[in-house]
Amino acid sequence: MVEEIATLLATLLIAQAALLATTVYYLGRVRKVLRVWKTLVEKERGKPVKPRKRYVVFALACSGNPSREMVEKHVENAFTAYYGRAALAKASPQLVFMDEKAGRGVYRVSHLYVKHLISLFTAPLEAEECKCLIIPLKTTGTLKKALKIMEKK
Amino acid sequence: MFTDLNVKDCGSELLEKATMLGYSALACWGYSEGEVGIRIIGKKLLAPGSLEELKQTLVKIPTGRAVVSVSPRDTATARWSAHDGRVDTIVMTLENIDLFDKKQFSTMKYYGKPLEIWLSDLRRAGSVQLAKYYRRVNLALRMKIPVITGSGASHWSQLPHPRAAVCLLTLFLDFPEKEALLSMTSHPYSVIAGKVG
Repeated sequence: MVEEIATLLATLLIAQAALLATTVYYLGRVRKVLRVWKTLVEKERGKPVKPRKRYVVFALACSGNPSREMVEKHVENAFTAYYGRAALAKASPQLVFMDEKAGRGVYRVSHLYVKHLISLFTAPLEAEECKCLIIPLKTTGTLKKALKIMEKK
Repeated sequence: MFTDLNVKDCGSELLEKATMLGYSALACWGYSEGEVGIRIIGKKLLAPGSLEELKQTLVKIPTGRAVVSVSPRDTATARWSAHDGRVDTIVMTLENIDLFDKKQFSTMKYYGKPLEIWLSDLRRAGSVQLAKYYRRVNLALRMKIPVITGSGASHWSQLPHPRAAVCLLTLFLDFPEKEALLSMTSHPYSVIAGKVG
């Protein structure tokens, strides 16, 4: 009898936990959909969309040791050449972190210009006998997650 | 299953980097035989000055050994290469862009010939050339002609990351994301699938 009650209680607890997890998951999804909808409505009404930050984690495959300044200069030049100065100002890409030894780094950019930044990685980084390939690893919403990914890979 | 149909020199370093980037097949102008984790096939790029020259060159190329691409310089060559079964792709470069009109695309669609474009051309194009490029590629997409994207890389540092290339295509040429992916995966792979390599 006691065993049966214990089993029933355990089953109830598991079901409750599952229900809670599902609710939390779907609430998160609903919140995301609502946020996208709000952005679209604001855009439709002509209101400026609030730029959110995104962190693009990248790796470098190089023949040589590229410095932080080299990468920054390359991205800035390529951005201006491809999309113009106005887009560069709006996107405001910033190299927030770079591990020169490991050849990895994190770029911060406006969420509206993530694709623009990643597309620049097709342009080869060539300077001072140092040739590099820039590989985008992941895009995240927080620097904490970006750094975690950078250390892991 | 990323495939690059236009790599100039497949050295060991380039192959290593291509594997790292996730490429599974490459068509190279020059390569050495060896064990690598990538399928490699030869590439012949023909840029004949006349139709006669194209016919003579095509006769000399053994069938099924390499991807044959033609970069036509006149209308007659462009039309002929569109219906010649030995030609695998027709390359649109900045030099021959004016040859690609609606009639050319209609012929290519009728004979199922894919259009090949190069990322290196996109990068060096000026605004006027880019506008021409944009209009023609979009016409080809609207007419449901398979578009293939090649890198034109001669050094491993020029090999693009597939995700970056997809972003570039969607932003520069308004490719739908799915089409951009297809232009780097199944369209080029179907060209080399039947080849001996």
